[in-house]
Amino acid sequence: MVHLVTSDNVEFVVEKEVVERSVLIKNMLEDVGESDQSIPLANVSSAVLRKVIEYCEHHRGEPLPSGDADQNQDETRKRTTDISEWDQKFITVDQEMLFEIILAANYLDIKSLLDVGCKTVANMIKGKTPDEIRRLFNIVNDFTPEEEAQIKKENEWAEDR
Amino acid sequence: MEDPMLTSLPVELIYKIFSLLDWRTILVCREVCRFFRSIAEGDRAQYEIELAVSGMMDGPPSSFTTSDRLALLKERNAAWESLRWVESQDIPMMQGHVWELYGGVFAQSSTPDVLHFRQLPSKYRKIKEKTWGVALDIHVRDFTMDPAQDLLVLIEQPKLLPNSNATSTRGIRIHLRSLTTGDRHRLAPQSAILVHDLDARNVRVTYALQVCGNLLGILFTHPGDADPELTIWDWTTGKVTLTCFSSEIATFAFLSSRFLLVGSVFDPEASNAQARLYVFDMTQPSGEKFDLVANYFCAFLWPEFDFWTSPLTFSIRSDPSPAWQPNPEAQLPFSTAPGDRLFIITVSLVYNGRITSYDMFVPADTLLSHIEALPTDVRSHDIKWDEWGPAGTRLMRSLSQPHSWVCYVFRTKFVSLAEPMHASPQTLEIRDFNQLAMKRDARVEGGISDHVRDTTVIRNVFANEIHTSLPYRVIKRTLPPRPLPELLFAAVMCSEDSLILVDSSHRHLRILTF
Repeated sequence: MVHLVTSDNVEFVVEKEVVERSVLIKNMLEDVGESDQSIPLANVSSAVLRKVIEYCEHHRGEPLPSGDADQNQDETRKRTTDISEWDQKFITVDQEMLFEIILAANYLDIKSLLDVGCKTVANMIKGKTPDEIRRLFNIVNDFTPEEEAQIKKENEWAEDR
Repeated sequence: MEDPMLTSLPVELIYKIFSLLDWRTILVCREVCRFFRSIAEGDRAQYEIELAVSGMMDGPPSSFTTSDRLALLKERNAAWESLRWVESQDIPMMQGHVWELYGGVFAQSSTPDVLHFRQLPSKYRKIKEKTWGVALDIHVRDFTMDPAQDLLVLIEQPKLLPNSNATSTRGIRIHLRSLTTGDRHRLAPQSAILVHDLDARNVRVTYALQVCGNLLGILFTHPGDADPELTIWDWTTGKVTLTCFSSEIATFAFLSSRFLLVGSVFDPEASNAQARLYVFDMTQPSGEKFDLVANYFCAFLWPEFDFWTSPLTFSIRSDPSPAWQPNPEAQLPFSTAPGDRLFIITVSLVYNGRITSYDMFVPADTLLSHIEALPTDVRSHDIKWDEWGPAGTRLMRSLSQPHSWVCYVFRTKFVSLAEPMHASPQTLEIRDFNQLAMKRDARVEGGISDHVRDTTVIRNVFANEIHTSLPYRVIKRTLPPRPLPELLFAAVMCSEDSLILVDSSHRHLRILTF
């Protein structure tokens, strides 16, 4: 069992097989060897870690993606944003939690969870107008009206199919 | 800690999210805020957009970075847009009677049992020229190939039987070989030979062969009165997908992995002749023998010919096949994507005692958008000319290109020699039907001078006046003056990275490399 301590000082005791889906923790365990000492996770709150562990438990035993070539392949070749049913349900959370999970997955180096999070954001963006995207993600329109009109004009060619 | 927002994520994660967006959405994001605009204008997003507009797809990971690839793609597009090739090389035309240009490889025979291959080089896609020969254990009557699948399909010269009346059929042997070695193909079924029975009375059969992924299509035509026969195989299993006999079949092409296009001219004695493009759904179980008229999914009708017009020949050309995929081992930075293809449908006819021919330029999208709008259970649905033709095609009198050098189309480009036989110096002309690229260029002032957006009107030959208006772009370049001995190019062919000029009287080929 592995002991983890979150930013809000909550201790989690998790099976090694589950927690090793995090490449960061896996490498740490390999470096320091088995020990009862707890691992501090200063960037992850208990609410987020609970979700991350739920994800890791569900996907325990699945092969870990490895190697740079794989990663490249994923990013450039597969423009698929399909998400499995369980993952979809899992990631149906408020935006704050969604970004917390993405940040945690990035920090803990859990590639498949990071993919699910990023795909979810991509799917939220798709099919929306610029204004809808701004409203959805609370983004301030920092263009001058002239700049905005100019960009709109430059994009016109791609609009009708 | 502040609540995280999308725009407060580390920039590499924003890049990751953008890499999951299609190019149209990337352009929408460009309008959202300055931060998003900077990402949408970065090399990675720009490369995505440039690929889509060029009809290309990214290659496998390699030592080329995204920025390298974007720069190469832009240079390549600029070179084709101004017809500035980087190298010109002359090679002799061999004495054999068969040749082929597909997937960036040019092949010709020297004798009926030796084939010579040349992988055409490319500057912008970093392809090295390579030549090799394959000596075969059979006499080849005709062949086709798909270098991406290392596939060579050979039709063995049938042996003439002294007493051909004795049997009513004759087995045509179709060999499935490796393009690099000439040995049997590793994905082919056991013997790597498909045996196909044909009516033995027809000694002089001609063949039209096409490969589309795992599908192999062969149209057998006979000068006699037996009906033409079209057979589609899955060459990896040796099983026949469909067979169709009909006097109406003139030509065929794969429209997608699912739909097959069959061109036909019907000339009833009593009324006007009409050409049709039948569409077959190859995924529908149909029994082996297909009836052209009873089993079609839908048909695109041409305008009726004038009563005094007699159609002679009808052909469809398109390259590469819709399912074509480059070999990933080739490590190319980018390649032609599946998707939009130009179909050039040529009809030659007699009108007023003279033979003329007309080319119809049809993007696959024109046909597929009509097909996708139909209910899936539809059968034998006719789509009238006015519904699909006037806005979705361009019908023009053919340039006087000899019909034997047919590889004049690649993706959305049609290449020709303007007045090939007499003009000096000769002029090379490309008509490019890439609609997306034209739309993008149109926003730049002055970038549209070479766009043709008028309407072509054909007043005779057809029963009614025909108007077509699909836009295209014309690119011309005068060829350098000819050296001695005087060469006269009669035809020009096009592949992904090359143009090949043909002088058949001096048996000479000139390869122009991009």
